[in-house]
Amino acid sequence: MLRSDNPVALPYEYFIDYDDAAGVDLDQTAADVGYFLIPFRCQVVLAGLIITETCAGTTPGQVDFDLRPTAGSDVSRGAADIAHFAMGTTAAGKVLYDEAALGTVLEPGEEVVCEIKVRPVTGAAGHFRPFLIVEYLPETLANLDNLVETA
Amino acid sequence: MLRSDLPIALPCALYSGYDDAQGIDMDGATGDKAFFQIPFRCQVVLAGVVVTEVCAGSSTTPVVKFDLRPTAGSDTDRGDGDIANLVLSTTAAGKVMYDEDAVGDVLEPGEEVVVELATAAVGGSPTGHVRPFLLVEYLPETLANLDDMVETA
Repeated sequence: MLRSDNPVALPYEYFIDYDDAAGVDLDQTAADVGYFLIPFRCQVVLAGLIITETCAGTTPGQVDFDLRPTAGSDVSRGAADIAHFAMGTTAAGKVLYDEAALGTVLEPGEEVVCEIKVRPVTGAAGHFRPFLIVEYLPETLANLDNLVETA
Repeated sequence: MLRSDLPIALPCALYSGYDDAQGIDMDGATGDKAFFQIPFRCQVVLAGVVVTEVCAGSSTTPVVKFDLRPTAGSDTDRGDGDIANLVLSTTAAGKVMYDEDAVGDVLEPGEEVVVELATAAVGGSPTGHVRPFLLVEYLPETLANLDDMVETA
Protein backbone atom coordinates (compact mmCIF):
# COMPACT_ATOMS: atom_id res chain seq x y z
CA MET A 1 0.00 0.00 0.00
CA LEU A 2 1.22 3.45 -0.84
CA ARG A 3 1.42 5.54 2.30
CA SER A 4 3.19 8.57 3.65
CA ASP A 5 6.58 8.20 5.29
CA ASN A 6 6.59 11.81 6.43
CA PRO A 7 8.02 12.23 9.93
CA VAL A 8 5.58 13.57 12.51
CA ALA A 9 6.59 15.27 15.77
CA LEU A 10 4.41 13.98 18.61
CA PRO A 11 2.83 16.67 20.80
CA TYR A 12 4.94 17.41 23.89
CA GLU A 13 3.49 18.85 27.08
CA TYR A 14 5.73 20.45 29.70
CA PHE A 15 4.74 19.63 33.27
CA ILE A 16 3.94 22.67 35.36
CA ASP A 17 7.06 24.41 36.73
CA TYR A 18 9.23 22.79 34.05
CA ASP A 19 8.27 25.28 31.35
CA ASP A 20 10.96 27.94 31.44
CA ALA A 21 11.21 30.24 28.43
CA ALA A 22 14.30 28.29 27.39
CA GLY A 23 12.63 24.93 27.94
CA VAL A 24 13.43 22.46 30.72
CA ASP A 25 16.11 23.47 33.20
CA LEU A 26 18.62 20.61 33.50
CA ASP A 27 19.99 22.01 36.76
CA GLN A 28 17.25 20.77 39.07
CA THR A 29 16.28 17.75 41.10
CA ALA A 30 15.80 14.59 39.06
CA ALA A 31 12.11 14.20 38.15
CA ASP A 32 9.63 13.69 35.33
CA VAL A 33 9.42 16.96 33.41
CA GLY A 34 6.95 16.31 30.61
CA TYR A 35 5.38 13.74 28.32
CA PHE A 36 4.60 12.93 24.69
CA LEU A 37 1.00 12.12 23.81
CA ILE A 38 0.56 9.15 21.44
CA PRO A 39 -2.64 9.76 19.46
CA PHE A 40 -2.18 7.04 16.82
CA ARG A 41 -0.18 3.89 16.16
CA CYS A 42 3.31 4.85 15.04
CA GLN A 43 6.96 3.86 15.12
CA VAL A 44 9.86 5.84 16.50
CA VAL A 45 12.09 7.56 13.97
CA LEU A 46 14.19 9.85 16.15
CA ALA A 47 14.23 11.02 19.76
CA GLY A 48 16.09 14.15 20.69
CA LEU A 49 16.68 17.31 22.68
CA ILE A 50 17.29 20.77 21.27
CA ILE A 51 19.83 22.37 23.57
CA THR A 52 18.94 25.99 24.38
CA GLU A 53 21.59 26.61 27.05
CA THR A 54 25.01 25.00 27.00
CA CYS A 55 25.19 22.03 29.35
CA ALA A 56 27.87 21.98 32.05
CA GLY A 57 28.83 20.27 35.29
CA THR A 58 31.81 18.28 36.51
CA THR A 59 29.31 15.42 36.79
CA PRO A 60 27.23 15.93 33.63
CA GLY A 61 23.47 15.61 33.49
CA GLN A 62 21.47 12.77 31.95
CA VAL A 63 17.98 12.73 30.47
CA ASP A 64 15.83 9.68 29.66
CA PHE A 65 12.70 9.06 27.60
CA ASP A 66 10.75 6.20 29.22
CA LEU A 67 7.82 4.32 27.73
CA ARG A 68 4.81 4.03 30.00
CA PRO A 69 2.67 1.14 28.69
CA THR A 70 -0.28 2.56 30.65
CA ALA A 71 -0.67 6.33 30.37
CA GLY A 72 -0.39 7.98 33.77
CA SER A 73 0.93 4.86 35.51
CA ASP A 74 4.47 3.76 36.34
CA VAL A 75 3.56 0.06 36.28
CA SER A 76 5.98 -1.68 33.88
CA ARG A 77 7.51 1.69 32.98
CA GLY A 78 10.64 1.41 30.86
CA ALA A 79 14.03 2.79 31.82
CA ALA A 80 15.43 4.89 28.98
CA ASP A 81 13.93 2.41 26.52
CA ILE A 82 13.03 5.17 24.07
CA ALA A 83 16.14 7.32 24.55
CA HIS A 84 19.05 8.06 26.86
CA PHE A 85 20.92 11.34 26.60
CA ALA A 86 24.32 11.96 28.14
CA MET A 87 24.26 15.73 28.14
CA GLY A 88 27.99 16.27 28.59
CA THR A 89 28.89 19.82 27.64
CA THR A 90 26.67 20.00 24.56
CA ALA A 91 26.46 23.56 23.29
CA ALA A 92 23.34 25.66 22.81
CA GLY A 93 21.90 25.23 19.33
CA LYS A 94 22.99 21.61 19.03
CA VAL A 95 20.48 18.77 18.77
CA LEU A 96 21.31 15.75 20.85
CA TYR A 97 19.60 12.61 19.49
CA ASP A 98 19.32 8.89 20.13
CA GLU A 99 18.34 6.24 17.59
CA ALA A 100 18.22 3.36 20.10
CA ALA A 101 14.43 3.00 19.80
CA LEU A 102 14.26 3.31 16.02
CA GLY A 103 11.33 1.19 14.81
CA THR A 104 9.76 0.76 18.27
CA VAL A 105 5.99 0.70 17.86
CA LEU A 106 3.91 3.02 20.05
CA GLU A 107 0.15 2.74 20.48
CA PRO A 108 -2.57 5.04 21.83
CA GLY A 109 -3.00 4.53 25.56
CA GLU A 110 0.75 4.50 26.09
CA GLU A 111 2.89 7.58 26.67
CA VAL A 112 6.54 8.55 26.65
CA VAL A 113 7.77 10.43 29.70
CA CYS A 114 10.76 12.77 29.69
CA GLU A 115 12.81 12.53 32.89
CA ILE A 116 15.84 14.35 34.24
CA LYS A 117 17.67 11.22 35.40
CA VAL A 118 20.85 12.80 36.72
CA ARG A 119 21.20 16.41 37.78
CA PRO A 120 24.56 17.91 36.81
CA VAL A 121 26.82 18.73 39.74
CA THR A 122 29.27 21.61 40.29
CA GLY A 123 29.11 24.40 37.76
CA ALA A 124 25.82 22.99 36.57
CA ALA A 125 23.96 24.52 33.61
CA GLY A 126 21.73 23.56 30.72
CA HIS A 127 18.26 23.94 29.21
CA PHE A 128 16.64 21.78 26.55
CA ARG A 129 13.46 21.21 24.54
CA PRO A 130 12.46 17.57 23.95
CA PHE A 131 11.08 16.15 20.69
CA LEU A 132 10.03 12.72 19.44
CA ILE A 133 9.66 12.09 15.74
CA VAL A 134 7.57 9.14 14.57
CA GLU A 135 6.12 7.62 11.43
CA TYR A 136 2.38 6.98 11.30
CA LEU A 137 1.33 3.33 11.03
CA PRO A 138 -2.25 2.98 9.75
CA GLU A 139 -4.42 0.58 11.73
CA THR A 140 -8.11 -0.19 12.07
CA LEU A 141 -9.40 1.36 15.30
CA ALA A 142 -10.94 -1.94 16.43
CA ASN A 143 -7.48 -3.52 16.40
CA LEU A 144 -6.07 -1.07 18.91
CA ASP A 145 -6.54 -2.65 22.34
CA ASN A 146 -6.83 0.55 24.35
CA LEU A 147 -9.33 2.38 22.18
CA VAL A 148 -12.88 2.60 23.54
CA GLU A 149 -15.65 4.26 21.54
CA THR A 150 -17.83 6.56 23.63
CA ALA A 151 -21.40 5.55 24.47
CA MET B 1 -4.80 14.99 -6.92
CA LEU B 2 -2.59 12.68 -4.90
CA ARG B 3 -2.05 14.13 -1.43
CA SER B 4 -1.11 13.01 2.05
CA ASP B 5 -3.75 11.46 4.29
CA LEU B 6 -1.45 11.71 7.30
CA PRO B 7 -3.36 12.37 10.56
CA ILE B 8 -2.12 15.44 12.42
CA ALA B 9 -2.65 16.09 16.12
CA LEU B 10 -3.80 19.70 16.53
CA PRO B 11 -1.94 21.65 19.22
CA CYS B 12 -3.80 21.49 22.54
CA ALA B 13 -3.21 24.15 25.19
CA LEU B 14 -4.41 23.42 28.72
CA TYR B 15 -5.71 26.51 30.49
CA SER B 16 -3.70 27.74 33.44
CA GLY B 17 -4.60 25.79 36.57
CA TYR B 18 -5.77 22.75 34.62
CA ASP B 19 -2.36 21.39 33.70
CA ASP B 20 -1.79 18.72 36.33
CA ALA B 21 1.02 16.28 35.60
CA GLN B 22 -1.69 13.76 34.69
CA GLY B 23 -3.68 16.18 32.55
CA ILE B 24 -7.14 17.58 33.30
CA ASP B 25 -8.72 16.67 36.64
CA MET B 26 -12.19 15.15 36.21
CA ASP B 27 -13.31 15.80 39.78
CA GLY B 28 -12.81 19.54 39.62
CA ALA B 29 -15.36 22.21 38.76
CA THR B 30 -17.10 21.97 35.41
CA GLY B 31 -16.08 24.46 32.72
CA ASP B 32 -13.67 25.05 29.86
CA LYS B 33 -10.29 23.44 30.45
CA ALA B 34 -8.35 23.66 27.20
CA PHE B 35 -8.56 24.47 23.51
CA PHE B 36 -7.26 23.22 20.18
CA GLN B 37 -5.74 25.75 17.84
CA ILE B 38 -6.72 25.39 14.16
CA PRO B 39 -3.79 26.66 12.10
CA PHE B 40 -4.97 25.38 8.67
CA ARG B 41 -8.08 24.12 6.93
CA CYS B 42 -8.62 20.50 7.90
CA GLN B 43 -11.22 17.82 8.56
CA VAL B 44 -11.74 15.85 11.75
CA VAL B 45 -10.42 12.29 11.78
CA LEU B 46 -10.75 11.35 15.44
CA ALA B 47 -11.45 13.15 18.74
CA GLY B 48 -10.64 11.64 22.09
CA VAL B 49 -8.99 11.67 25.47
CA VAL B 50 -6.26 9.47 26.90
CA VAL B 51 -7.31 8.46 30.41
CA THR B 52 -4.42 8.71 32.88
CA GLU B 53 -6.36 8.10 36.10
CA VAL B 54 -9.38 5.80 36.33
CA CYS B 55 -12.69 7.69 36.26
CA ALA B 56 -15.10 7.19 39.16
CA GLY B 57 -17.91 8.86 41.06
CA SER B 58 -20.91 7.45 42.96
CA SER B 59 -23.29 10.28 41.94
CA THR B 60 -21.97 11.21 38.50
CA THR B 61 -19.09 10.12 36.29
CA PRO B 62 -17.34 12.56 33.97
CA VAL B 63 -18.51 13.73 30.58
CA VAL B 64 -16.13 15.76 28.40
CA LYS B 65 -17.32 17.72 25.38
CA PHE B 66 -15.37 19.20 22.49
CA ASP B 67 -17.27 22.29 21.30
CA LEU B 68 -16.63 24.18 18.07
CA ARG B 69 -16.31 27.93 18.49
CA PRO B 70 -16.88 29.49 15.05
CA THR B 71 -15.17 32.63 16.33
CA ALA B 72 -12.02 31.97 18.34
CA GLY B 73 -12.34 33.32 21.86
CA SER B 74 -16.10 33.92 21.60
CA ASP B 75 -19.04 31.77 22.73
CA THR B 76 -21.39 33.19 20.07
CA ASP B 77 -22.87 30.23 18.13
CA ARG B 78 -20.68 27.86 20.11
CA GLY B 79 -21.52 24.18 19.59
CA ASP B 80 -22.40 21.74 22.33
CA GLY B 81 -20.46 18.52 22.05
CA ASP B 82 -20.58 18.89 18.27
CA ILE B 83 -16.98 17.71 17.81
CA ALA B 84 -17.08 15.06 20.53
CA ASN B 85 -19.21 13.97 23.47
CA LEU B 86 -17.12 11.63 25.58
CA VAL B 87 -19.03 9.70 28.23
CA LEU B 88 -16.18 8.50 30.40
CA SER B 89 -18.12 6.43 32.91
CA THR B 90 -15.54 4.34 34.82
CA THR B 91 -12.92 4.13 32.06
CA ALA B 92 -9.59 2.80 33.30
CA ALA B 93 -6.20 4.49 33.07
CA GLY B 94 -4.44 3.69 29.82
CA LYS B 95 -7.64 3.54 27.79
CA VAL B 96 -8.40 5.99 25.00
CA MET B 97 -12.02 7.14 24.82
CA TYR B 98 -12.87 8.39 21.34
CA ASP B 99 -15.79 9.74 19.35
CA GLU B 100 -16.17 9.56 15.56
CA ASP B 101 -19.30 11.70 15.50
CA ALA B 102 -17.55 14.64 13.81
CA VAL B 103 -15.48 12.68 11.29
CA GLY B 104 -15.30 14.76 8.14
CA ASP B 105 -16.31 18.04 9.79
CA VAL B 106 -14.29 20.83 8.22
CA LEU B 107 -12.41 23.22 10.52
CA GLU B 108 -10.92 26.52 9.41
CA PRO B 109 -8.41 28.99 10.83
CA GLY B 110 -10.21 31.56 12.98
CA GLU B 111 -12.27 28.84 14.65
CA GLU B 112 -11.26 26.84 17.69
CA VAL B 113 -12.35 23.70 19.52
CA VAL B 114 -12.83 24.04 23.26
CA VAL B 115 -12.50 21.16 25.72
CA GLU B 116 -15.19 21.39 28.38
CA LEU B 117 -15.71 19.30 31.48
CA ALA B 118 -19.50 19.20 31.12
CA THR B 119 -20.17 16.79 33.99
CA ALA B 120 -17.68 16.30 36.78
CA ALA B 121 -17.03 13.13 38.74
CA VAL B 122 -18.98 13.57 41.97
CA GLY B 123 -19.71 11.45 45.04
CA GLY B 124 -17.91 8.74 46.94
CA SER B 125 -14.24 9.13 46.10
CA PRO B 126 -14.43 10.86 42.71
CA THR B 127 -11.40 10.45 40.45
CA GLY B 128 -10.23 10.84 36.88
CA HIS B 129 -7.61 12.61 34.79
CA VAL B 130 -7.46 12.85 31.00
CA ARG B 131 -5.32 14.25 28.19
CA PRO B 132 -7.34 15.47 25.17
CA PHE B 133 -6.35 15.07 21.51
CA LEU B 134 -7.88 15.93 18.15
CA LEU B 135 -6.64 14.27 14.97
CA VAL B 136 -7.30 15.96 11.66
CA GLU B 137 -6.39 15.63 8.00
CA TYR B 138 -4.98 18.66 6.22
CA LEU B 139 -7.15 20.13 3.43
CA PRO B 140 -5.13 22.30 1.05
CA GLU B 141 -6.69 25.67 0.29
CA THR B 142 -5.58 28.98 -1.16
CA LEU B 143 -5.16 31.51 1.66
CA ALA B 144 -7.34 34.05 -0.13
CA ASN B 145 -10.27 31.61 0.03
CA LEU B 146 -10.14 31.36 3.82
CA ASP B 147 -12.53 34.01 5.14
CA ASP B 148 -10.77 34.71 8.41
CA MET B 149 -7.25 34.95 7.07
CA VAL B 150 -5.95 38.51 6.93
CA GLU B 151 -2.52 39.29 5.55
CA THR B 152 -0.65 41.84 7.55
CA ALA B 153 -0.05 45.32 6.16
